[in-house]
Amino acid sequence: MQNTLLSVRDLKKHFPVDEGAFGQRRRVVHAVDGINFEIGKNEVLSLVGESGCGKSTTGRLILRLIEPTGGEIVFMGEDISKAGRKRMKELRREMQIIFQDPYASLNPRLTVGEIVEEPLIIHKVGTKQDRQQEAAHLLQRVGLNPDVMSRYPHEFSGGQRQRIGIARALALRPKLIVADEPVSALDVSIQAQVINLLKDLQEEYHISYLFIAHDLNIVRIISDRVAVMYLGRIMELAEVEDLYKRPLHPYTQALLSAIPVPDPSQKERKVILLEGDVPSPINIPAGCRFHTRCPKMLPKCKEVIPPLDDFGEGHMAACIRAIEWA
Amino acid sequence: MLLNVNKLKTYFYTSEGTIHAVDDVSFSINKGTILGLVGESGCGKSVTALSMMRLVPPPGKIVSGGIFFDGHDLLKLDDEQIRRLRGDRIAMIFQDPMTSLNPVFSIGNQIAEIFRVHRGNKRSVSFEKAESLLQLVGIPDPSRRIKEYPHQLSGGMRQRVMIAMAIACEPALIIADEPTTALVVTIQAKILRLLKGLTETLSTALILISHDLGVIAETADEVAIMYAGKIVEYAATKELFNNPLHPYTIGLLDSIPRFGEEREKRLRTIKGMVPRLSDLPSGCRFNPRCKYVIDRCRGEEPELADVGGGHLVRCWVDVKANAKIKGQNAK
Ligand SMILES: Nc1ncnc2c1ncn2[C@@H]1O[C@H](COP(=O)(O)OP(=O)(O)O)[C@@H](O)[C@H]1O
Ligand SMILES: Nc1ncnc2c1ncn2[C@@H]1O[C@H](COP(=O)(O)OP(=O)(O)O)[C@@H](O)[C@H]1O
Ligand SMILES: [Mg+2]
Ligand SMILES: [Mg+2]
Repeated sequence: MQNTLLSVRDLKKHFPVDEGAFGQRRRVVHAVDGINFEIGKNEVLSLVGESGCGKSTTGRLILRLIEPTGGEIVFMGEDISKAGRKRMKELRREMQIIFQDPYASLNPRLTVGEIVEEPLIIHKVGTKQDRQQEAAHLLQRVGLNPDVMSRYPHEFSGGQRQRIGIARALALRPKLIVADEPVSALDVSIQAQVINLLKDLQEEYHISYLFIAHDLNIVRIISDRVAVMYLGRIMELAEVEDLYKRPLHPYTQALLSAIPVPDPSQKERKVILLEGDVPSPINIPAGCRFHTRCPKMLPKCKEVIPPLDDFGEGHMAACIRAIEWA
Repeated sequence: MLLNVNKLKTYFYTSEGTIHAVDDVSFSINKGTILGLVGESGCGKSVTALSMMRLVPPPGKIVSGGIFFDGHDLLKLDDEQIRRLRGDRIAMIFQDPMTSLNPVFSIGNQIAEIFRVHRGNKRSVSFEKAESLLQLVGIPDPSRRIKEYPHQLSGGMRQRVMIAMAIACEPALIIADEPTTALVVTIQAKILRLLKGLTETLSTALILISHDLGVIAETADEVAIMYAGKIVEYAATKELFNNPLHPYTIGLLDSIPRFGEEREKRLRTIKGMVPRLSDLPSGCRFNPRCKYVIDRCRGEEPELADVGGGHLVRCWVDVKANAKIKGQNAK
């Protein structure tokens, strides 16, 4: 990829957990289990998949909020997976995160102005007056009246709090923002407002997003490319319209077929229902990890781990039958 | 008619004033049909549901109106009578399964308990019934799962256990409050099919509360759109989606992304925010956000009026004829 901002290679995060009353059985949650992807400059890459498939863990690994078990995280040409504390602090200027829960993610004891100003203070940017001016400007840019600066987060609605979180994330003009389900907790009409804002800011400030979501309609609006995760691995990765119009992995095909359509005349449309539930990330199935639920499964799928292959123009899928639908 | 809710008002008396959570809501539902109740958070959907179960928590109170279910006036029943109806003839499914599952009892125990209480079944019979229910709601390996505790199950499975508990006594009415909101689309599709199947095989009536218009379009027979404690539009599902008449409904439908040949670049939005129910605008509650607003909307609250064929709309403006007052239509 030209103009790569971030490149993730064979990234892994295994959480050890104790099972049984006395912790006698030590087991491992394979939360992220060897993933590869790149994000270009000014690009929006979305991560989708069922809850527990490893999306948030991936986002937190990239920002080094948790330590990887293995693999590389190359940010602007530098492998940051082993960068020290001091270097990471510098790098955080370039990488920010927006969380799902606009209630839990803002410090209730700080005023809105202080919340937005805080990253500038930590990184010793400008004078006090510069910083306050900048905070007012950012709040205005995300659609809030600057007179909110002296108020506290609890005085605001979910949508407004999410705007405050966005203003804070923008303060240092990062190159990458990890947005972890930023609108899932918001109402439909407010979701649309916040998504439009995120899209405008991305173009205006030339930011890349790793956008984590489970609403596949919103993902289709905001993304350049989409990666579909299942049990800690990427099953398919493609340009957004390519993925929605020509899904190559049976898991993606099932996900897309199940999106409810707001049109009663399409009530009888075909939905691919998957058998069973997602297996535990402690006991990952052998072979293709999706085989226990796959409607297109062949005997071979129980043995062979399919690589994430390119089926043309960067449309990648990890399925030995993908060629049949390509 | 199985259920008729008539001019229901449920208010909360808080230190910040009276919250008109459910304010003059009327609807009815027949056996074997699905009514979708749609609206943004805080508009009164859950309080409507809790009112029907007579489970409104303090400082809330059902202030006036009637709830008639299968010949009973629910508001006149004493506590013991209502307790016997609950879980037996009327059941509720909550958004968060942990609100109705007890973490210290096994799944089997909790379902079997229902049969013991409502049907007087013995322990062994209750457990047999519980196991076949788990099978029915699509829990894999039910003989093993029945011994497990809620925390050992995935979100989707807990949701299905709660559905199993709700349908245990084959109730005449199920109220499902955002039963799939937290779930991924593949599991959501399964659960909706399951609920729909019940309305077909057991003639159960279902009130499906959701904010997802896609879910409603695929599942409901009729739809009520709520805004700030009131129903603003009510129609058969096809009619509502093909011919929405309230500006709020139109705004909600417009904000859903559509994907034709060209991908849309921006979402359409409804400006402003949902009002606080303790601080409502005068006149029509939607008027500060409405793009069709006329003077009358700020002064007078419109009634829910039938514009033909059972399509009810609460609006002064004839949106189709673009901002002409439909004074005659409104009573
Ligand atoms: N700190 C932790 N300890 C143990 N397991 C964890 C921890 N954090 C996440 N997990 C597990 O890792 C898996 C992936 O979690 P997560 O990345 O949060 O998924 P997603 O964001 O896709 O819902 C889940 O099975 C989750 O339970
Ligand atoms: N226990 C309570 N105390 C005070 N107000 C409440 C309580 N429960 C609900 N409300 C108010 O009632 C209104 C309707 O709530 P609810 O029915 O839960 O909305 P929703 O449509 O999201 O289900 C809300 O504005 C809320 O503030
Ligand atoms: Mg997550
Ligand atoms: Mg609710």
